[in-house]
Parts: sequence; structure tokens; C-alpha cells
Amino acid sequence: MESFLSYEFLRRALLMGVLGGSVCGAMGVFVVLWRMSLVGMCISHAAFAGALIGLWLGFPPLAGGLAAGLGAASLSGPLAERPGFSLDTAMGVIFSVVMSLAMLALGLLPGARIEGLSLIWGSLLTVTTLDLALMGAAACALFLFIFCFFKEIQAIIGHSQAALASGVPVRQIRRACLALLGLVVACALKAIGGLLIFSLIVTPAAAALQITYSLRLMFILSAAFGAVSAACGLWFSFHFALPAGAAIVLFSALILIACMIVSPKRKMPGAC
Amino acid sequence: MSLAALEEVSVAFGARRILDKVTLSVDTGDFWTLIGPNGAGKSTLLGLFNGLTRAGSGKATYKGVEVTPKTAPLARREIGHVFQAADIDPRMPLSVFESVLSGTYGGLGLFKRPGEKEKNLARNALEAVGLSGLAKRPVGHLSGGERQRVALARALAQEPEFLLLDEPTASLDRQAQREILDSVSALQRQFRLTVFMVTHDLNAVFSLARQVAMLKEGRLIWAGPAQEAADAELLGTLYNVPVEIAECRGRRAVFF
Repeated sequence: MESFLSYEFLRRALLMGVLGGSVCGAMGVFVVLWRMSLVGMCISHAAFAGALIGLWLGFPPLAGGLAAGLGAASLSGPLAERPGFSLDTAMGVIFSVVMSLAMLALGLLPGARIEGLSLIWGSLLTVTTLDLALMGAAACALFLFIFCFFKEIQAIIGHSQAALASGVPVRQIRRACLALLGLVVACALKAIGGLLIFSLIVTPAAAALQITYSLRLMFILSAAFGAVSAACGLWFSFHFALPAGAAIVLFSALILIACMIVSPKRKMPGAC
Repeated sequence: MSLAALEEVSVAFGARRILDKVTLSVDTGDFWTLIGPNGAGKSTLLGLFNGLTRAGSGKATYKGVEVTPKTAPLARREIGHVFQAADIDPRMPLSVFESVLSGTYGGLGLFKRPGEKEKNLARNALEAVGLSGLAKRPVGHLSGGERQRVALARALAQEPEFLLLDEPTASLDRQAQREILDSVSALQRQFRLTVFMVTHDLNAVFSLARQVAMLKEGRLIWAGPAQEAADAELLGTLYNVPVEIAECRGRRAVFF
């Protein structure tokens, strides 16, 4: 561990991983409990495509990712609320389109495409101070949002229609949450990678859901699982020369399996 | 005095007309039931009172104020709405008490934490529906009937003046249906609530309600006292099937 932390770039990578993992983990609680995996997947991959297109056009990838992530979030919110609209089908089509755009932008990139490829697999070891500062700002925004609107989030999770009927601003909270998802993904994209980030959003939350009936604890556990996955994945990646993003996501999957084994909910009917 | 009213309200989703010039007035303390076949527009009509449904033409009013996107949030704080029983993930991280307490959040407003007043409202609401003993249980572990009573308690915790019930007994067994309807009846008397209930249970209509409205293909075909609604010809026209009414120990029952 001492040799691991003796390098400046590794300390920065660890901090970025822990920050990104905890933010993605906390974000996953919304995605899992509001059952918007498909919407979340589209937003995260739109940010990925935006970052690659930004890179191709000569903009900073973060700017492209942020614009595309927030754009996809602002589109999918109203789409999800339209009565009778087949969101599943629309998200399936949008997902294919944004992935095609991402691959197209990657194909059009001149030269060795190292920066482009690092957006796919993630590159924790090249994290800069600016990346860290932006991730820190995204983390503050998300945790402040959860702290300020916890009771509204709880009401929406319980029964969104009943919450709306009792005067809770359900649409505004949902849309803010989708915008935060776009922001978080854009900020964590460089470190975690476009293909793996969504699994780091969903897996820690799915693990936390296995072992608690408290929403407050679920947010804390999910963020902790994300952070632990990032730290352990990075450590394994350093010692065994593995791709960091893949190691992080596989570690979060191990935590999920462990939680499923010890889950008090596993014998309940309908549980999975 | 009229608490809520619909004046010539029409609603359409795209080219499909759901409600057609419906006019109805609900007085304070009334107990209304709304009946009609599937697809008649009953839930759509119910949502007009608290703005969940937007009127295409005509207007819905609550306490004399037109319900619009701007005024609806205020109306919603005084109108409780109980929805049809829905499946809940048994792993849902939410206790019965937290679910009922969430009924107070709309009235509490943003950036405020529920205090002792809100917690007492939730405790009293749970006691009123007979679920005090289950307060700490995860809401996903309840039976269908218990979940509906939690939904009722959540609406009561709002301290509503007007209670909307959308098929509160749908997909429940007979015993659970009876418990829910008895609770609604007792609560209406205890809290002097004005109630508007959508139901398919015609026997509940005649045993509980004072006023009945009949909706068919988006049109209000009849509205009046419950005793006069127990008419075989009227109900036969509403549902397009032959209907017979029987009386047993002073109670009326409908046979299809």
C-alpha cells in the first residue's frame, strides 16, 4: 500500500476513484428505485458520445459530454412523462443512435486516438487537478441535492402519483435528478470510461438494496460500495497490471454477489 | 355550499375525447360515488379536482378557485387522493410510518424537515386505519388490503378537506374490501370529510354513498341521490347488461 500511495498520480487517481465511485453509487439509488435503468443508460452513453464528438470537433471532451448528457437528460424527462408513450422503445432507439454516434466520432478521430480510446475504457492514471475539482463540485451538487430534497425523494420513491397529488413537485425533482445524472457521468467519464460507468452507477445501488430497508442507509451504503469498489479496483489494477475501469466494475459486481448471499431479503417471494 | 365543481368540462387525449361537457357540483360533507363501465373516464374525471387531469375546455373549481397548473399545488395540499392498489417491490426501502409521513410533505413545502406535528399526524392517521402496530414494518411486506389502508392513512395525514378515492377496493379480496369501505365510512364521519369515490362495487355505492354520478363514454348520464340510483333500468343502460335489484334486510343488492 505504501508503494501504491507514494506516487502523486496514483494518489490523485485514488481520490478521483473514491469521489467518482461514491457519486456514481449514490446516483444509482435513483436509477434503481425509480426503475429508470434504460433512461440512465441512454444519458450516460449520450455523455460518452458527446465527449467523443467534442474531441473530434476540437472541444474539451468534458464540455461535449456535459452538453450531450444534459441534453439527453432534458429530453428524456418530458418523454418519460408522456402518457401512452413507449419509453422502452424510444430509449432502445436513442441508445443505438448515441452509440453509433460515439463509434462514428471515434472512427473520424485522426491519429492514434489515444484520448478517444481512453474515454471508452477510462484512464484514472491521467486525471488532472481540474478533473478532480470538477468531480468534487459534481459530488457536492449531488450530495447537497440529496440532503435538501431527501423527503421529496422518499415520497416519490414510495408512490410518485400520490406524491404528485399531495403537492410534492415530482416533475421538477425528477428532472433535476436526470440533469445531475448527466453532470455526474460527464465528470466521471474520463476516469471510469464510457462503457463501464453505467455499471458503476447501478451495481453499488443494487448491492445496497439487498441489505437495507432504510433509504438513508441505502444512499450511504451505495456511495460507500462505489468508493470501496474504486479503491480496491485501482489497487488490483496497480498490482496486477489490469485496466482500472474494468477492475473497479468487477469489484463492484463482487460486492453485489456478496450482498446477495448475505441479504435478509433473499428468501422473500419476488426477490431477486 | 359547493366545495368543488366541474363546469362543462371536456378532456381529450389527442383525437380521443375522454370527457364530454361534464357538469357536477360537490357540496361540503357530501359522499359521492362515481360509477360506470371501464374506459368511461372515471379516473380522468377524479383527477380534474386536484389538477392531475387538465381540462381541455370548461373549468374545474375548488373552493371557488379555478384549478389550473398555477393553483393546483395549493388545492392539492387540501385534497387527499388514494389510488388503486399497486404492486410494491418487497425490497422497497420504506417503512409504513415513512410512507404515511410522506403524505404531509406536500403541505410542509421544500427545505423543511418533518417535525413532531407531522409525526403526530402520521401516528394518528395510522391509528385511524388500525395499522399502528405495523408502523415499523417495510411497506412492501404488507398485504394488498393493508397497503390500501396505508394509502388511506397517507391521504389522511395530509389533513384533507376533500378525499378522492380511485377504486380503493380494486383487486382486493372480500374481507379487505369490507375493511377498506368500513374505514372510509368511519373516517368520513369522524373527520367530516367530503368524499368522492370511484368504484365498481355497486353494493358499496348503496350502503355508503349519499350521491351517485354515472359516467358512460365520457358523458355524465345521471347524477342524484343514492336511493334513486338503485334503478334496474338506469343501471342496465349504464352497463349495457340486464340488471336486477334485490332487497334484503333493508339493504339493496345489485345482480347482473
